[in-house]
Amino acid sequence: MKTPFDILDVSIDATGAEIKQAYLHQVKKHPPDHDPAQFRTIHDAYLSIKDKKGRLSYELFTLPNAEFDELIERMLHSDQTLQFSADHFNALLQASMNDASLQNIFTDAELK
Amino acid sequence: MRRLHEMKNKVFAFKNLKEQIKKQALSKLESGKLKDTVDQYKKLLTDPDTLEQHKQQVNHYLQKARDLTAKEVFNDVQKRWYERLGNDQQSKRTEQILVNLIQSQDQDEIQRQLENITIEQIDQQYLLFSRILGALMLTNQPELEQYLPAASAFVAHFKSAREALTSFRDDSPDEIRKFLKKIPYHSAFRDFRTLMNAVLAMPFLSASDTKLLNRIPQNSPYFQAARSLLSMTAHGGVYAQNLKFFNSRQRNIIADIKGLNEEQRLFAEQLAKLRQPLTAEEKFNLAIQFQSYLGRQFVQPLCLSLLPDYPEGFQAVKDNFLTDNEFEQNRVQALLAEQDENIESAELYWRQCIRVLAEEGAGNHLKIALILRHLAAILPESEQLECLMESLQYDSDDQESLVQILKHFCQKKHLDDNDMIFMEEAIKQFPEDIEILGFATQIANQNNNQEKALVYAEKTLRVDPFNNSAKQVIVSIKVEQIRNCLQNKNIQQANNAIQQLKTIKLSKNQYQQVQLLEAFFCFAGQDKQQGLEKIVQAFTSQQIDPLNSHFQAAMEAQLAGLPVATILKTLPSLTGCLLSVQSFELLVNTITRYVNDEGNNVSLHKSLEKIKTPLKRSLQQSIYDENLLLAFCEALIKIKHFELLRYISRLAQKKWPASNWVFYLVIAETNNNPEQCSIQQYLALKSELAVARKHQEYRIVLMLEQYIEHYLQAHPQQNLDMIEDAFGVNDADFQEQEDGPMERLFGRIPDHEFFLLNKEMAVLAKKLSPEQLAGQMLPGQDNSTILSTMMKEPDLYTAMLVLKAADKLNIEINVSSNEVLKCFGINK
Repeated sequence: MKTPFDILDVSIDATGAEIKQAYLHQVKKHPPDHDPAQFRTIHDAYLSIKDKKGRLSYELFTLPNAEFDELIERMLHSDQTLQFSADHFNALLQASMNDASLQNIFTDAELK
Repeated sequence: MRRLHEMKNKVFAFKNLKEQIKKQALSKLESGKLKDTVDQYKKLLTDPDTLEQHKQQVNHYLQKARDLTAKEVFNDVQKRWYERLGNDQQSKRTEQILVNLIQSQDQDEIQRQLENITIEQIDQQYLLFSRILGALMLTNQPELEQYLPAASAFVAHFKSAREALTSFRDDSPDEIRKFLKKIPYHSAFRDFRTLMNAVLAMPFLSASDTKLLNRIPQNSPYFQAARSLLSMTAHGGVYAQNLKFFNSRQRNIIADIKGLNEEQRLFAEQLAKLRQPLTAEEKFNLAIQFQSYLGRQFVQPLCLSLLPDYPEGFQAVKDNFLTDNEFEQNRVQALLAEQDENIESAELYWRQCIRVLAEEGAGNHLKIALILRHLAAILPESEQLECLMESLQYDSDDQESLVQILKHFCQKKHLDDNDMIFMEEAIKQFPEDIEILGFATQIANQNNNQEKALVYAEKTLRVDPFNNSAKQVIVSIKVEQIRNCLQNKNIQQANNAIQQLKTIKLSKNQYQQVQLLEAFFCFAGQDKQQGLEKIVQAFTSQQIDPLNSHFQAAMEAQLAGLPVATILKTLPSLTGCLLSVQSFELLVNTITRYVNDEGNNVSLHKSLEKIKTPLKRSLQQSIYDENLLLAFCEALIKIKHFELLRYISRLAQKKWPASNWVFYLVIAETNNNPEQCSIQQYLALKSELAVARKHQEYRIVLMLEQYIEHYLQAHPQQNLDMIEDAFGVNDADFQEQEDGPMERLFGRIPDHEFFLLNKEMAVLAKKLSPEQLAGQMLPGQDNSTILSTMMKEPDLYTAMLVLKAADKLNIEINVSSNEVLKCFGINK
């Protein structure tokens, strides 16, 4: 679920002026007559953090919103290009060959 | 038609031929010419129709041939037989046996079997086996090539595949492609070719490569390799989802190729072992386990976000991230407690937060105020005011909190001095805030501080000239002032107040009221005749009917202390006057307004007396909307005019036999005093309550329930149960009484007749004792038995009351006194 900061595409440290600018920018992209649902989302997000009290309230009364998928992405991210050698290829083939599915290459229906 | 006939002839001829062959085969067999017999059978085997439809027969012939001929001939026949059938089950079994053999690594047996395989078998027949054999030879056992038919396509393709692999080692892509081109589509090494091409394209697989890789079937030895290649190019969540398809070795190979480090491999292994979707606990534990790799800045918010679904993780959060942060520990626990709807605990934790913030210094005042307001929002209503007031100590100019506090004040019956001072301060702080001024006006009015109410209302109008609430307050107060002035003969002041009122933009009704008061002023303070004329004009100019005119004039004259009769005389006569629907609506609205504004029942009663006769006539003769009548009845209840209420209820009940009117009739007949309610009326209300519940008429359900509750408080319960049980009014008891004598005798009586009988029974019960009743119902009989039964079975008395009431009201219930006696076991 997106936070008001995500919706307005501002950092969590953004000032009131920055938030307002971001709000206006988003409203331009999603005007109420063209995209009423999204406009409402943007507007509600703005109202909740437009002033200092709103931002402070948000900080005090919500728990963070983080996605576990992001953890997986970070953990399994690799900048290296794939290192595919002949040994790797052979190893993959060997591993495939060792797979148990070769014990029954035909289904029961085919054998009847 | 001709063509069909020709086709039929051909089929017939063909069938004939088969029969001939069969006959000839049998004939050869009988004459001992076995080789000829077998030849005939072979002919049969060339016909696919024979094979499919006559398998059993052919097998039978084969069996015979085997018995009679040498093994070589039999094998030849069998081979042809199985060839014709193609991939029949025997062939498949053979393939499976060969595959298993390969996997068994029994080299001697493998060699022996491979040496027996023909080109046709390896290239065309045992396709799956070829594929597996090829993969085995490429990876482990190239030496098997020597046992295979050298001229077979399999061997040729194997050589190309091997060369492709060698070129791969030598990093010669062009050479690889050259050799791969020699492997055709139908080759046993087709899947190998697909894999190799995909590897050449890595890391950017085209759509076509991906499609071909996905086409490799599950029983291919290259299937997992293909899956691995596809997985290698995936990232993040997609890669993670694919991990479960591979065993640990495969995952390691993929991790090698992707260049994952030790921690990443460990993570992948952990993830692969867990079932998807992961629980919050599993996610949490993974995050904690790998926090050093991911960084605290990332892991901390993730763990906090998981706490709502895994609150047990709080201790780990505290130990890992919040060791020295008492505020955050309490904050998180407060939010978790709120989520658990444990408001008491939440409050405790928030109070701890406030304590920590207060200890840190004045810079946290706003946070404290916000927490207090948050508490006000979650705590019960009785505790909200205190929190809000407290919050203002830390953040005094919060308009929302002030409004909330004033709302609470509105609900208080009486404000003390401190509350009033607070309200004044709020207005000083926000002198032009409409909400605050509106609440202040309302509060002042409620506390009978009309002077202040007027001041606040006028302030409101200065800020918002169209504010109707403020106008209404001003009009009400000024009208009250004018009436008082007129009563006390303070004519000039009355006039001042009238002039002040005229400066406001009034609604139509308000203007008419002011006009009337001005006319009264003229009557009382200037010229009586002119005043009377103005009074008439005040009504006629607004086209108000005579009945409404009389009523309003009577009301206002009373409230202003002016002679009612004199004023009413000048108005048009009420003779023959009937209220139209609009006029009746006006009357109801006017009465409602007077009820809400004044609460002066005596004046209202007197004013209604003036118009009672034409009003009743109008109610009798005209058709008014039921809702309007109900609104009128509500007003009549408030002013306790039960005579009119009774009149309307009786009329309305005939038109609309709904729960509302039964209720209003009871209200009217009991003067809205449950103590005066009889048992029968109570029973009638209970019956209507059941109906109202069934029809989901919640408003009337509420009113009935409230009345019944008051009735039960006023009356002991025990006397009721007997009657209720007798007539099955209590649903729970009803089931028990289902087969009782009362139900058996009177269960058929319709509800509306029952209601009438109830009423009559109430009257009779007051008049007739059990002895008298028995004497009347059974004249000339010895009633001692009946009376003694009545002592034991009170239902008998009730049953006889029912008979008497039915007789009196002429309601046919088809139950005789003999039947009643018989039901209670009394023989006549």
